[in-house]
Amino acid sequence: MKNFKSPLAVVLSAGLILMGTPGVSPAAMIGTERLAAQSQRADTEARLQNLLSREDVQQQLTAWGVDPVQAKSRAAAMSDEEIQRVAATLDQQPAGGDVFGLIGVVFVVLLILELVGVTNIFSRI
Amino acid sequence: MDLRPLWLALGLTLAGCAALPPSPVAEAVQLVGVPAHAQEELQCGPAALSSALQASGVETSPEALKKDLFIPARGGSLQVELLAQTRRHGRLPVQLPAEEAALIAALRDGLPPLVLLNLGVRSYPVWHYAVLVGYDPEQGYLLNDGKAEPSRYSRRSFLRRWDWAGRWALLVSRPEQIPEPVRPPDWIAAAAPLERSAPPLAATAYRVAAQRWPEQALVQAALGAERYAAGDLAASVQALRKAVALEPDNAAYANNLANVEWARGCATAARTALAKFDLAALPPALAASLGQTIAEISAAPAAACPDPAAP
Repeated sequence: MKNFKSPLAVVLSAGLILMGTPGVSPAAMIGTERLAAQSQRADTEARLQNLLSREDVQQQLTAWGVDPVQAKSRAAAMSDEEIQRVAATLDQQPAGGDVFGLIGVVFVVLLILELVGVTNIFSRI
Repeated sequence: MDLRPLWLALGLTLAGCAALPPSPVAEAVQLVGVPAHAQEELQCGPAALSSALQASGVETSPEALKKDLFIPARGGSLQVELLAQTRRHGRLPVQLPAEEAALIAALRDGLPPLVLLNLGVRSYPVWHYAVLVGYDPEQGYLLNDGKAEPSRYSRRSFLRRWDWAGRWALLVSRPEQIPEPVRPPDWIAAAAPLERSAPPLAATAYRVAAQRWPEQALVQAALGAERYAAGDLAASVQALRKAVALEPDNAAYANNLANVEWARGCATAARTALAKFDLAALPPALAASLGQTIAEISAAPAAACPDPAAP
């Protein structure tokens, strides 16, 4: 072992082994974000199989007309857990905007159908 | 043709699903000082988030938030971006329990919940963000919903729109103050992403959580991981030991305790922490983490070390 010929290297190596490496996160630590997500929902393991990246989200935002520089910083502002959660289904996520003037025959019929439908929402509240 | 029987039947059917549960509280509550913004077309996301952030003491405006929230081709803003931008302004985006009582408890605590509403129907949704600023058992809810003044919604109509949007409600919270209706996992989940972008804010959020919920294992685990990242190994070990004592069968907490014990040179304690777990019985991702930890610590020589709690 050529490297260990230096007494300094031996001392430093031994010191590192004895002290461990505080400050450097061991690869095997499980992050709090993941722990919390597991507490919130039990299906995390399944969703984590579906790995998609921050770049995918950024590209999708750009494709939807967001300025590319903004898209990058906006994707960067999302947490790892959030990226995992939304990336695969970004196009199905509700995008709150508004349509105040939405009233029509179809709407009224749908509304009545859903109001008299099987679910009684108030019994669940 | 006489349509009266039909209308009567329809009226009775509608009345049949009209049983509202009793109001969670008897008294009215109304917040003052939550700015209402008259929104531009499709800009309810920036308008609502601006209201909630301003109520929390952040200086911003719908115009300033627009570039970080609006998606032209979708004609609106995504929930996940509201969370991300809340963090960017140094606040915690905390999810509320999906119950009417939680909304009202937040109001009584002085915080306006940001809610997602479905103004259409479930098969043809029209999404809209609004900020809840008042509740009255008689008159219903008061919302900043994109007009210059708050709008009144009957309790029934508000609850239906909220229910049809998945009962999603967000609180913009200061990291040093946990709102009354918030549950521990939701608070920790809101704070955890700040470990990356604003570590002192995450540390504050965990510290107040450990004061309010000292017996919650997840809270102790979060504090332990944060203290570890900050280089405070003694405090980290203390918190993680507490987490493991509270939930001895949680392999993830034990894994993190083992890592920190190992990092401070206590290989023996690290091994003991993981001895009881059968990797084959754990979910694959968790088993992989534990396997990695075991591989790392088994390379180190056995070493006992003093308890950090001892004087």
